[in-house]
Amino acid sequence: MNIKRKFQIIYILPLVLAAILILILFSSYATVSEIMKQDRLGEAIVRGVFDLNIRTNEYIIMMHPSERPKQQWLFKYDSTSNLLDRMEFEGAEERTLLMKIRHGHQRIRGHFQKLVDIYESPESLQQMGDINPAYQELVRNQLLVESETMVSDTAHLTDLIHASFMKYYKWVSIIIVCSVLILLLILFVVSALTRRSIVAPILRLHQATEVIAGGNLDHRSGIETSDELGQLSRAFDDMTLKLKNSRIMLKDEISEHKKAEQSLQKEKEKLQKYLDISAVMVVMLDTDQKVSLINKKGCDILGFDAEEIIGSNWFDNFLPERLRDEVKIVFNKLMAGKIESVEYYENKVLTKNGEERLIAWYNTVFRDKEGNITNTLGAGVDITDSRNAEMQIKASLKEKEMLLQEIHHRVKNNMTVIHSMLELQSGYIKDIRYKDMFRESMARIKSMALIHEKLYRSKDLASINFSEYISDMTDDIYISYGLNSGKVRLKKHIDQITLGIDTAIPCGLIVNELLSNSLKYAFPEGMEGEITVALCMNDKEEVELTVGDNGVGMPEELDYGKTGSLGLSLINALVKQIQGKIELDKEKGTEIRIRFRRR
Amino acid sequence: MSKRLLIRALIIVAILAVGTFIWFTQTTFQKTVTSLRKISIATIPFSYTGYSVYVAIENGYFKDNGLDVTLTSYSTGKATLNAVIEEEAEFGVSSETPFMHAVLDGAEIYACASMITAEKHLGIVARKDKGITKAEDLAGKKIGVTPGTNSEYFLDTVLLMHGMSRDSIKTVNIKPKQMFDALMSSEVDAIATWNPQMFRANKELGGEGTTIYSEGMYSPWFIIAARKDYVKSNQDVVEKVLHSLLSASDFIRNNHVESNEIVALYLNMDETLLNELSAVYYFSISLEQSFILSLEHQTQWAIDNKLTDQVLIPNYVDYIYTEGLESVRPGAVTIIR
Repeated sequence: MNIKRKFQIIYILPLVLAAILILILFSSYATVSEIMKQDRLGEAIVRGVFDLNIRTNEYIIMMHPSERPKQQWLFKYDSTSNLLDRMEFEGAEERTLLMKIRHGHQRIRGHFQKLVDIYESPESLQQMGDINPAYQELVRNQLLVESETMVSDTAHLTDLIHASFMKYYKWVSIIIVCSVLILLLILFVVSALTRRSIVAPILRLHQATEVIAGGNLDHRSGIETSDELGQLSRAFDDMTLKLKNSRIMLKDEISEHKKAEQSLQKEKEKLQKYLDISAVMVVMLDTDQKVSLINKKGCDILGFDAEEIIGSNWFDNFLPERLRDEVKIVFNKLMAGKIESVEYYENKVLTKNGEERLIAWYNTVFRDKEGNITNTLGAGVDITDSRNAEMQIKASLKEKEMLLQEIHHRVKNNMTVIHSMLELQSGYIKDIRYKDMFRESMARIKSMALIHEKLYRSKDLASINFSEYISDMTDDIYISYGLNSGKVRLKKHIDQITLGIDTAIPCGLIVNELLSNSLKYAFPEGMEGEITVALCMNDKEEVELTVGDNGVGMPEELDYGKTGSLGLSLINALVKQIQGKIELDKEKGTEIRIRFRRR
Repeated sequence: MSKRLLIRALIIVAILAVGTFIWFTQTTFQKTVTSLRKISIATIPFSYTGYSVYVAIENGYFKDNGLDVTLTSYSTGKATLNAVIEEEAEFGVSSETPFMHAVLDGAEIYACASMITAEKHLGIVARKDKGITKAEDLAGKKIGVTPGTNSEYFLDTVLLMHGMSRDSIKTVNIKPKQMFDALMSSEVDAIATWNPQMFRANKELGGEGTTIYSEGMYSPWFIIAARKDYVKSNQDVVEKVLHSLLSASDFIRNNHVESNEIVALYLNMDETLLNELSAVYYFSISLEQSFILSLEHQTQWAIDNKLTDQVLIPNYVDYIYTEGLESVRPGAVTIIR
């Protein structure tokens, strides 16, 4: 039975019993009222019979009574008759007695009439002779006897009514007392049941709770009822069992956690050692800008002990004042997640002795489960010294570059002087062969001078933009030979390629030689044609330099590898110098293709 | 826990209390049984006078009150009272007339209580073939009567009611047991007698018989009497007897058929016959003032008819023991003492 049903019984049962008690009281009241009514009627009859007895005696005593006592007797007799007629009983004893009274009452009327006849018509009794007095005495006596009997009987009847009332009153009292006792007993039983089935389990549950709260997880409430309390207790016991298991698991977890903590501590100490022996400064900041971790290197750089640094505001204490506001703003934005963290940056820190050190920072952030940034970790390298050295190297390099540029400039100027001197000298040469020889030498010098010019103009003194160089040089050569541009066209297919000076000078000389040969020999006698200069990178990452023409081509007997021509010998020597390969294609004029590794 | 102990303690106490009660009642009962007071009551076996006594015996009321009652049988009320006077019995039952005669004869006895009053208990059963169809026809007829009993007073009352005297008829003294046969054999023309003989004779005669009643001029009183000295020295016994008779009377009033079954055994007759009686009996253990009036009137009758040597009516209050009944049921006594 569940608690709700129990409470319903607890509420309803006393109400039902109270209702029954009220019904009993109501019924009893009705019965008592009826008995009281009979009692009042009985008392009225008693008074009536007493009065009638008195009137009887009065009439008998008067011997020669007047009309008045007779009338009064008859009036009282009639009123008593009415009362007797109204009276009814259920009990056999009362009914029998009432019948006796009624019979006596009827007889008394006959006796009284006989007495009236005796008094009022004495002549009618004359015939009785000697027995007349005895007859009169008999009538008077029997009238008195009946009257007295009626008095006794009516008194007895009222006694019976009283006894009936008292009996019923006693019975009702017993019923009421028993009902109250039963009600109290039931209430006590209900109370006991309530205590046993509700309060006691709650107390046991409470005790169990206290015992369990005291740490004894082996304790069980042990309540096996099927109601909600039983369910609650079983759930409580299950919970206790789970709690015990959880505690065991928790102990294990704590133990493991401690082990892990110890391990972590060891790792931390190890890490701290790592950090301490690290040449890198490591600093961890909280969201409130305070230092939560710093390694030995950091302390060394800043000149403070770790205890002095940890917990103090990083920006207010260890950054130059001019940087603080700016860096703080950035830091706060970073903490608020408004900007992404910067993995690398450099800024200066302020040491204990007021010195500013430049630190190159590599940063990362730590986040909690919700993704909020909790810490920033910066690993900083003191680059103050290296940066200073770098600056010095840069300055030195700049100085050397300027020097080298100056050298190239002077070499170029010297070559230009040589070129100009050869040009002046060639003006005195009449023989066209020598003049060509001068011109070739001048071209060669110019090609080299052009290299130096490109070098000192270039930002990179070690390599030149070879495309630009080839383009400028071929244009100069093309113009220097003064050909009819309308008949011999120069086509250039030059990719952007940079070459080192060791490769660029030989390559420049090669192009100079090949282009000069094409301009001199490919298009004799005003022949029209086309010279092609191409520079590109092939699939094998090789530089492919092609100079070709669609002119008359090289003589069949000419072996360009074994020729005594200075130009071709120079070309072969230069290709060898750059460790290249040369190919000759005579199919359509002359096309020489040179392949070499870029350096 | 303490409540549980308390409940267990209460249960143990209750068991002990019940056990003690049973032991006490058992021992008391045994004591009662062993100390029953032996008394004898003189009764008339073929008369209604002992009705209440028979029921009290059969229902064990006497034993309940510590009395071991022995019945002794006598033919008339006069004989039962003589037995009492002669100390043959402690108590005797009779009608008021033998009691009156006993008092007039100087017996020191007490009427302890009246037990029964009745209507039509007595009658004159007459044979029609003797020309008797009404009271007036009794004149000159032989009428059987038992002297010293209330039938004699009844006969005179009926005669007087109809303007006749004893001289106008011929009375034949007949013992109660012989009344029926005397009438049936026409030894007498009529008999003045009481139930159940009266009913039996009337029934036997059927249409040949008639019964004449007193028309309410006489109602008998059946009493229980004892010697004065016995009463004074055994008031507790008297109270026990009265208490037993009161219980019987209460039972009879509420269990008419069952009571008749009991009494039929004592009267040695079929109980259906008792149930057919036209008489009405009122069972009430009492001492009423009207009882004294009846005694006084009958005494006057006895004096007038020279049935006694006494010439004065005795003070019957001195012959009625009211204390006993007053102590048992005060409301049943209306006699002023």
